[in-house]
Amino acid sequence: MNLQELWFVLIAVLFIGFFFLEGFDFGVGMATRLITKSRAERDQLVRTIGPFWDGNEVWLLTAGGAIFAAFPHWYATLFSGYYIPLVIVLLALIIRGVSFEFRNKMITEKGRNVWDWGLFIGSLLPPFLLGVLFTSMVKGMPIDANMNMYAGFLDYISLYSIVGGVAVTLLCLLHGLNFISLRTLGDVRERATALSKKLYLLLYAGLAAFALLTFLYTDFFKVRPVVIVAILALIVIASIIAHYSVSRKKEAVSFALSGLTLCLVVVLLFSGLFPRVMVSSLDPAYNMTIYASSSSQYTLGLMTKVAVIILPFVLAYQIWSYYVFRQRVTRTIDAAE
Amino acid sequence: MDILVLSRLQFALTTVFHFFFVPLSVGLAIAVAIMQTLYYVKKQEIYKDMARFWGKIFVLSFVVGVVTGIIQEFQFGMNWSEYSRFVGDIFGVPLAIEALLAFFIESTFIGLWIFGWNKFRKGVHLSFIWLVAIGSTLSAFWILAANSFMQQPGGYVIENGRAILNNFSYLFTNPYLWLQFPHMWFGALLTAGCLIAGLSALKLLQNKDTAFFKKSFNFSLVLILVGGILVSGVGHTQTQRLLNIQPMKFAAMEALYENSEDPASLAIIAGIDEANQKRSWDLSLRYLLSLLSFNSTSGAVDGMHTVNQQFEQEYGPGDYYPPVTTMFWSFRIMTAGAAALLLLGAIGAFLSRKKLLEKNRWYLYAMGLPSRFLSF
Amino acid sequence: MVSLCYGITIAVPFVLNTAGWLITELGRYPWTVYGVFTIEQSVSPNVTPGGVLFSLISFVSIFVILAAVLIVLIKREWHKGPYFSKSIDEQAVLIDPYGKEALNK
Repeated sequence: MNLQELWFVLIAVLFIGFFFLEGFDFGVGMATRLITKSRAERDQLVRTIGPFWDGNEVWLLTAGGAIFAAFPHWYATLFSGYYIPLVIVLLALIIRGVSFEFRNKMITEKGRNVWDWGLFIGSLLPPFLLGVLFTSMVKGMPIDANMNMYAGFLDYISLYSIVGGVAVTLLCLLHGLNFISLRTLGDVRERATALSKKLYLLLYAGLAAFALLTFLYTDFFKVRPVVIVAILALIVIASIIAHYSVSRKKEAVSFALSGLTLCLVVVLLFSGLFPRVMVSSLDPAYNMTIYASSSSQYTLGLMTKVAVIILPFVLAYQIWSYYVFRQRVTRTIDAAE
Repeated sequence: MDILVLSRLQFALTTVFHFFFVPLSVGLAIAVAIMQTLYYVKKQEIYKDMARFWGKIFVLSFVVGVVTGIIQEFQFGMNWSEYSRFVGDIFGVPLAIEALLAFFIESTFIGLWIFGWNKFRKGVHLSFIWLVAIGSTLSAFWILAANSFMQQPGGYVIENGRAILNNFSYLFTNPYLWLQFPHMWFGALLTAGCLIAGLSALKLLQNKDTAFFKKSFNFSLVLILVGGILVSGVGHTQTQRLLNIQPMKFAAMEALYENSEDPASLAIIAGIDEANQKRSWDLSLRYLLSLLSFNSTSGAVDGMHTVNQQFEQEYGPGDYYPPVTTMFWSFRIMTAGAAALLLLGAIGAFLSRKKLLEKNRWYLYAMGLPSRFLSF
Repeated sequence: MVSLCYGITIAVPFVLNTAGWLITELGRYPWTVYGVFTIEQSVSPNVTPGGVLFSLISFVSIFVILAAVLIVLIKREWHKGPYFSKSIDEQAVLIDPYGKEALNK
C-alpha cells in the first residue's frame, strides 16, 4: 500500500470515528424533542453527552484537516464546491455547540426553549446535509478539467442524495436512541428503546432504497461488486441483529451494532469511491484520483509519522473519558421545574 | 459585489470575532489552572472558589471560541480554494496537527474538568485544567505556525505551480513564529487579567464579597503586569524584525511614504492622505524612530515609495501599498492601549500593596469604568 | 433596575487584539504567502458573490448574537458572585424515587 492509499484509508477512519461518536451526539440531540416530556428529561439526555460532544466534534475537524494536508486538491474542490451546504452545516454546528452551554443559563422559559430548539435543529441538519454531501459526491458532481465544481441546487438535491441524507440521519437517531438506552435510567430509557424498535422497520426500507439507488446512480456495483455487496450484506445483518438486541434489551450490543452500521456506511462509500476522491458528472476524465490530488510524498510521510504517534494517545484518553463517566444518568429533581 | 472583497471581508470579520474569544480563553485557561494549583498546594477554599467562579466564565468564553473557530478551518477550502491548492502541501500540515494534538486534548479534557469536580482525586482533576490550558496554547501555536508561514515563508520549493514542503522543521522553527506566538500568548494573559481585574474592581466598588475579589484582583494584576510587559517587549522585537523581512508593512505602520530623515522621527499622530499617497501633516518626535528601530540615535528607514519601487522590480509592476490609515492608527491604539493598561496595573499593584485599594475609588472606577450604554 | 456596568479596562484588550491582527494581516497585502502568492490568485473561482454574501451575513449575524448572549451570561455569573447557591451548581445527581430502575444499575 502506498502513502496515498494509506491516507485515503486514514481519512475514512477519521470519518468513521466522527460518525460513530458524533453520530450518537446528533441522535441524542434529536431525541430531546422526540422522547422527552419535561425539561428534567431533556436535561437528563443532554447530560449523557455533556462531557463528550466537544471531543467528538473534533473528529470532523481532524478529518477536514487531514484532507487538507494529504489531498489539498480534494479539500479545495470539496469545500468550495459544496459551499452553501457547508455554510448551513457550520451554522447548525455553531448553534448546537452553544446550545449545550446556554440552554440552562436562560432565565425565561422562552429563552430556554430557544436554545433547546437550537440543540434539536443543530443535531438534525448536520447528519442530513453530510449524508446529502457524501451521497451526491459518490454519484458525481459537475467538476471540470481544472478540478473546480460548479454545482447548483439540483446537483446537491436528487432522489439519491435525499435518501442518503435521510438514511444517515435515521442511523444517527437510532444510534443516539441506543446510546440513551445504554446510559440512562428511567422513563426516557424505556421510550428510547420503544422508538428504536419502531424505527428499525423504517431503516430496513431506507437501506433497501439506498442500496437500490446506489446500484442505479453509481458505478459501485460495476467497479467492485463483491466488496460492495458484502458490505451491504453486513449492514443489513448488523441492523437485524441490532434490532433484535433492542427488543431483547441487550443495550451494549445494540449500541455497538448501530455504531458499526454507521461505520459500514462510511466504509461502503469510501470503498466504492476508491481510488477516486471526487467523481465528475461531466466527464470521467475529470474524476479526481488520490494520486492526482495528493500532497508530496514528503508531506504524506511526515503526516503519517505524526498521526501514528498521536492517534493512539487520542484514542486512549477518549476511551478513558467514556469509562470514567460510564454511570447511568438519572433524572434530577429540579426544584425550579 | 466583488467576490474578492466579500471573501476578504468575511475572512476578516470571522477571524476578528474568533480572536475576541481566543485570547480570553487561552488566558483564562492558564489563570484558572494556576488558581486551582494554588488550591491544591495551599489547600485554602478561596482558591477553589476562584477556580470555579472564573472557571465558569472561562467555559462560556471557551465554547464561543470553539464554535467561532470551526468555520475557520473550513473557510480556507470554501473561499480560498486556489490558495489551498497552492499551499496545501505545507499549510495543511499545521492545521492537521492542530486538530490531532491540540483540539482533541482541550475538548476532551474540558468535558472531564467541567463534570469531574467531585469525581476525581484533586490532583487528577487539576491535571485536566492544565491539559486544557496546554491544549489551547498548542492550538494557538500551530495556527500561528501556519500564519507565520504566510508571513515569512520558508522550507519549501515550487514544483509544477505549487508550493511543496521540503523542510518540516521550518514550520515550527520559523523565526517569525517565535515572536508572534509569545506575543499572542502574553497578550492572552493580559486580556484575561484585565477581565478579572475589571470585574473584580466593580464588585469591590459595590463592596460585595470583598475578600474574594480582592484576592482575584491581586491575582489579575500579576497577569496584567507580566503579560503587559512581555507582550510589549516581544512586540518591540517583532517590529524591529519587520524592517528587514517586511519593509512595506513597517513603513505603512509608520505612514512613511517618503524615506525618513537620518536620524528618523516617529510620527505620534498624522493626517494621512491615502489617495495621494502622502502625509497631510504630522506630529513627530525626532530620533524616536531611529531609537526604536536601530537602538541608536541615527539610521534612516525606507518609505513606501522606495519599497514599492523595489517590489515592482522584484515582483512586477503594481500597487503594493497596504491600507496605511488603518495600520498606522491600529498600531498607535495597540501600543498606547498596552501602555495605559500597564500603567493601570502598576498603580493597582502600588495601591494594593499599600492596602489603599478601597480608599481610591477613582482607581476602581477606572478599572471597571461603568459604561452607561449597557444596562440590563 | 440595576444597571450592570462594563469596564472599559475589560474592553480595551479586545480592541488591542483586533488592532494587532489588522496590522499584521493587512500589512502583507497583496500577498497571502508573502512574496509568493497573491490574494487575488487565492480566491475560489467557483463560489458566487451571492453565496459569499449569504455566508457573510449569516456568520456575522450569528456571531453578533452569540457575543451578545455571552456578554449577558458573563454579567449574570458575575452578578451571582462566587458564593451563589452552590448546591444548584454542583453536579449532584439525585435519584428520582419514582423512576423505574432507581435501585438497579
